[in-house]
Amino acid sequence: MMTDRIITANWLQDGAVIWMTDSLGWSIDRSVAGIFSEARFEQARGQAVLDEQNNLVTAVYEIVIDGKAEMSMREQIRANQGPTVAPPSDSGPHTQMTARK
Amino acid sequence: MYVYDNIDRTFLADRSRQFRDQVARRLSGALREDEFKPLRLQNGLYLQLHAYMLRVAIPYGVLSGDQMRGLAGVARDFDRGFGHFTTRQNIQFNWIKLVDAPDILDRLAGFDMHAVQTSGNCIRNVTSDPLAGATPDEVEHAHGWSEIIRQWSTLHPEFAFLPRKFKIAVSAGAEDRAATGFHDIGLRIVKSRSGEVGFRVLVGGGQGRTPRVAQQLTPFLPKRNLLSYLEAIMRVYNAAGRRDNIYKARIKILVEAMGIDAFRDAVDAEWVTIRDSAVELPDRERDRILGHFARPTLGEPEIAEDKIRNQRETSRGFDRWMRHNILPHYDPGYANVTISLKQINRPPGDASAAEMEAIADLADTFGQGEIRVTYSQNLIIPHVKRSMLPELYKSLSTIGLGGGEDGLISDMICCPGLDYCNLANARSLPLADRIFEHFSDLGMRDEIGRLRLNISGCINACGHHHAADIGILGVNKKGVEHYQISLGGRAGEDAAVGSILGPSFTEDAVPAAIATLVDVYLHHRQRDENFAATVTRLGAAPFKRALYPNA
Amino acid sequence: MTATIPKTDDDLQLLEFESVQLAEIGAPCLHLTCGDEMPSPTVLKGCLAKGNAVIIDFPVFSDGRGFTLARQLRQSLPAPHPIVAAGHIIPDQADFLHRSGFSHAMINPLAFAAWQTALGMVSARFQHMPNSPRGR
Repeated sequence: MMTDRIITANWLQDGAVIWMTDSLGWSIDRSVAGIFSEARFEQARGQAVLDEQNNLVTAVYEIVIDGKAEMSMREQIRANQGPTVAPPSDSGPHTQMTARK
Repeated sequence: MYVYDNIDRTFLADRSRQFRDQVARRLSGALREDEFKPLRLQNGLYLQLHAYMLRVAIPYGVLSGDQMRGLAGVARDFDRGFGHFTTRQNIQFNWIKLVDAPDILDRLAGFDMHAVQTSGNCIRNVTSDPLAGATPDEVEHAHGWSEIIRQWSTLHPEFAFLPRKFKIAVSAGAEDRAATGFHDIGLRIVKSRSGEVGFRVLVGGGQGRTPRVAQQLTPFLPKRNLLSYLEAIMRVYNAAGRRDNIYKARIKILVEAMGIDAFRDAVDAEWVTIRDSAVELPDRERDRILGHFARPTLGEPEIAEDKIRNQRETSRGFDRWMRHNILPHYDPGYANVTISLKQINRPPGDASAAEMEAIADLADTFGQGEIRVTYSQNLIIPHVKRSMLPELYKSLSTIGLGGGEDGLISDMICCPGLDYCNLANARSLPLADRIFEHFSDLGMRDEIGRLRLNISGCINACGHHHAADIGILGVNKKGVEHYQISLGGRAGEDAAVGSILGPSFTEDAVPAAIATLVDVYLHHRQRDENFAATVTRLGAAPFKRALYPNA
Repeated sequence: MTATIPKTDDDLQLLEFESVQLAEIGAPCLHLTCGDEMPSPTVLKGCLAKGNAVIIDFPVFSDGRGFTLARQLRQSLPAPHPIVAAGHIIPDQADFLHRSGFSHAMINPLAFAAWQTALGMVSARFQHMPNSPRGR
């Protein structure tokens, strides 16, 4: 339906990206994000605002989804919890290479 | 470099404690988010695309080996084992937890580092010439004055809530390696005809939506009046800068609206009330700070040129490295070494914790224990004996950092883009990789020569695409990432904003488009003209025609 | 001895920065807001003569113009002339307000402890201000 929405935010404490679930809780897994239409959305939004006021979540917003549209690149990246390119990997604590001169 | 004393250390301890209290009050709800956000930003903590991002200040890009090791530890213990060096000579960590931030600030304070005013509507990290104190072309050591400005701007009570962010850069070289022309205030240390050293003050430069080259406020400001003059500028801006529209809130907008002459009059009217007052830096304090920035006493180096020549004949890698990564030093027996953080499959400017530790060791062993972060997101070890260059190259190669070239097409400045940033419209990192790949032939890179290619993932222009020979701006066209190409920007003493060549390209089409522009240059260049010079001589027309043949 | 500054509906009280105590001062002679121009020399002379407080109202705590206004006012109204910060201000600004020239802040008395804690939490003075000289 055209007015289907999902609700997303960040955990206040650690900044993790989260989505509101069907049971009006939060998950870091986008695949279990609740899809809210009209009346249910109002209820869900209300819960999100409450969670914000209770200092659990921050930066709440909704994403309108309709049948055909793919996730935007931005939302894909958020859902995948990481960049599309690999950062340099840490090979562990480096031991001193050369003696001090 | 500047060494903290008890006052500095007490400040960081106080500041940490203050932030810990603020975080606790935010988590309890005693502070609302809209009240907490500016406080959080003024300790460098952004809520970003994946998590909180912490921007740690590296004052004018200078840090010690120990500090680099300390940052590696933060990356490893609190983040994902790497950091990103920025165009403002800071470092960013991308997966920080708010609840960890107070501990991180404490850890940073333990090696005299912090995140004070690296974000927010306040005076940000002062940036400067990464070769200051090590270059033959400087009037004076720019870092001493950068430190003076840093301290003056730290927790300045009148300017903690400006209309918008404020960026100051200081340069003292004949070549402007600090992009002062694109800063809110640019300070160029100059010598008057009588031999007196002072500041040429520029104001109103910037990138972003409305890029502008800074205009001259005064050709010569005596050193002793630096702080009062800066305060006068800040006061005019604080009082009159727009607060109704964040896209019109920078000082460049105010200067343009008033006109430079009226702006200067307003500054002078404020200045006259505080000039030569207690606002100025006392001589004793000036000397105390500048005393940290004398040129180091360098040992007598052994004669190295035969050794280097032989090594260059033996090793192509070393030969290229000598050609592209060694910058001139005021002492002919020494060199300044660029460590390029630009490689295939490496986000430009990123380094792993292990790499940071290795570089720290190399700076201690081969340099003077000091590292500089450059405007182009590379690192420099200054003051290396030329006789030790072959060994340093070998050590760098062992850790995979012996390649890259300062200033060639592969030496891209690139913002983190949509892969990391909430503000971005498009990704920048995959494109950097693709361009890198397209120009992977070393001979081709050498043939092209010096070419500044910068990529920004959105109009905020953190990749400084306006100041590039070839600038690339990521945009979102109906949900698909597209890229606009501009030409003719310059970041140095002859700063200029580039101009867009035409309609945007898909990511797939960009590398070939860049190659087309390069071909036009190679075809038309005269003698040993570099790309910038050819663009200046020919203008954009032949490049436009080649890029859009059907237009 | 003197009339208190009229309290708002929130029943606010005056915090005096120097003594870190709740205080009372006389009726104001001037009520300014962030973004106002500096009053004329005549008006300021009148204020100075009467010794009455100037209030600067912050519509939002992040409107930094109030700090510059206070700093400029201090040039004509030297301490101990009362300059009062009012409106939306938060304890974390205490030092900034104080050092910019405010002598008092109109606060919610329930937040008195938070203001007390905030004041002097960061002791560094890296720049000269009229009522707080540089630490070095």
